[in-house]
Amino acid sequence: MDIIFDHVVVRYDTGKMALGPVNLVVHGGECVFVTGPNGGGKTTLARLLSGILIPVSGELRMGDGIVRSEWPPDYVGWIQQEPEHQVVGANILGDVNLSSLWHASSYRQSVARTRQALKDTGLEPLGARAAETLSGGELHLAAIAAIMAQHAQVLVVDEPETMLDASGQLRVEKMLQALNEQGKTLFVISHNRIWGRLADRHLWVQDGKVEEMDQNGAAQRLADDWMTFCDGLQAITDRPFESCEVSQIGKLIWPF
Amino acid sequence: MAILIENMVLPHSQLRIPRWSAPRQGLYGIVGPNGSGKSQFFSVLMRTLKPRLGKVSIENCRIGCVMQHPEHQLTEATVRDEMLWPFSRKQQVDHRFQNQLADVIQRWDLEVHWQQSPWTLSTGQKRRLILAVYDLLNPDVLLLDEPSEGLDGEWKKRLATWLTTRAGTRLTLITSHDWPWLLSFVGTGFWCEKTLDASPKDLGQLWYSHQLPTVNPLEQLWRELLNRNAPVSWRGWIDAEVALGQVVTLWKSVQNQ
Repeated sequence: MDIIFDHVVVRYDTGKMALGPVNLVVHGGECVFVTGPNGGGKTTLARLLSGILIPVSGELRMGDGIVRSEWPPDYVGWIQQEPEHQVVGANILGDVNLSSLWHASSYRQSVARTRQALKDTGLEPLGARAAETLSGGELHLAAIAAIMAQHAQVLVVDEPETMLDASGQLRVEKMLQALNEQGKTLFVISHNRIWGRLADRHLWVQDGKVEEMDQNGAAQRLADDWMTFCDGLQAITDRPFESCEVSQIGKLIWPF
Repeated sequence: MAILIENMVLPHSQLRIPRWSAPRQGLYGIVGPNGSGKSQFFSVLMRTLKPRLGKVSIENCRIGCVMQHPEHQLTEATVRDEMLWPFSRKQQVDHRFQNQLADVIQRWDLEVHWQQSPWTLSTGQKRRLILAVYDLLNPDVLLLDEPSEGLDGEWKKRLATWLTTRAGTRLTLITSHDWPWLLSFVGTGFWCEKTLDASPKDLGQLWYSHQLPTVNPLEQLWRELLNRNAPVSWRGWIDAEVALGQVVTLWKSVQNQ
């Protein structure tokens, strides 16, 4: 289902403009990369989608006309930048269970959802641990597991790589890719250009304004090292690469 | 200043530290996988976590810490109060302090937020605020837990520059999974996984020897080249221009053979 931002404006309590006006149509199943400088309005956009912020003017609605306040409670899942804000269970198993029980239609289904979410995030061995005994990265994965158990149609992920080591980042990337392939709509908010390469749409949010651009535009603003490297290498070697594949380039520059 | 840890075992992570003596000054990474005990190690140094076993001795040093989640450190109603509460009224009117304060506000670009509630700031702005507080407090040892999280590229560069300029006057320990950022300005680090290394090693060597998986294609290319004994440096991949320079040299040498 499409998500339509129709002249959406959000203001701070002081009256100062926080975001907008935003006019945007995101099609169901798209992966949208949201980036831009600190304080630009990216997290405000996430809060708007999650429903905890209401626009002062304009409308956020689904393609069939249903406005944000009437969306089903499990329709949008929001993985926040600060995982401690959303891990509330006595232990990790309990926390993911809470999400499953809230959103699943039966107890049996909730057990299956919890089991799958803990498996996908690699947290099965830590199920009995209390949140305060986990590291920042483990806690972030726990927050992701609880949202996975929600089975939301739209996922808003604020800084998905937060506090994660390389294995955790890879795991989260694969999970998000799989969800996108299942038809879920993703909003990935990050300063990390890696996510831009996975996305269908690219938004630059600065001073409350949302600007859509192509992948190259976003990559240039974020100074995408890989694209700079590939472009430079093609110019110097005078060999056009069909695709910027690591193994192809590796063999070209060091064939031993 | 002296910090010595002996025969320590931490709870939860079970990290063991047979013996660790803090360097006197400089920039050092504390690197290792999630859940290995890096943040707990900082908590021990801050005396907010009691180890299961062992002892820590800290003499003559003021330690500051910017936590993973800087909002845990926010206590005041405005950015101004957050910056000034650690200082007495007498200190605050001192001319030298005023100059330092002006420098710090400018460095972390906080003037525009001066009367704003810290809770209304973005995550990156909150982190800058707590960094600014410690910039003003100027501790002997500064612990930074994932300091680049939430910062955009420009602020990551500014933070690295600030830390580098202070490297000769204090000890700064940094935990981070942001390898390109860390490798861009930190020379050595301690690996933390089950045990904490007693002595620091080249950070580039630590990055390579632990063969961490990655989603960064430039990093993947560099691993592949190093694994095939290509003459490139451990840190070449962290900057596209540097990587390009090394790869072009390599490619030309191959063409001339």
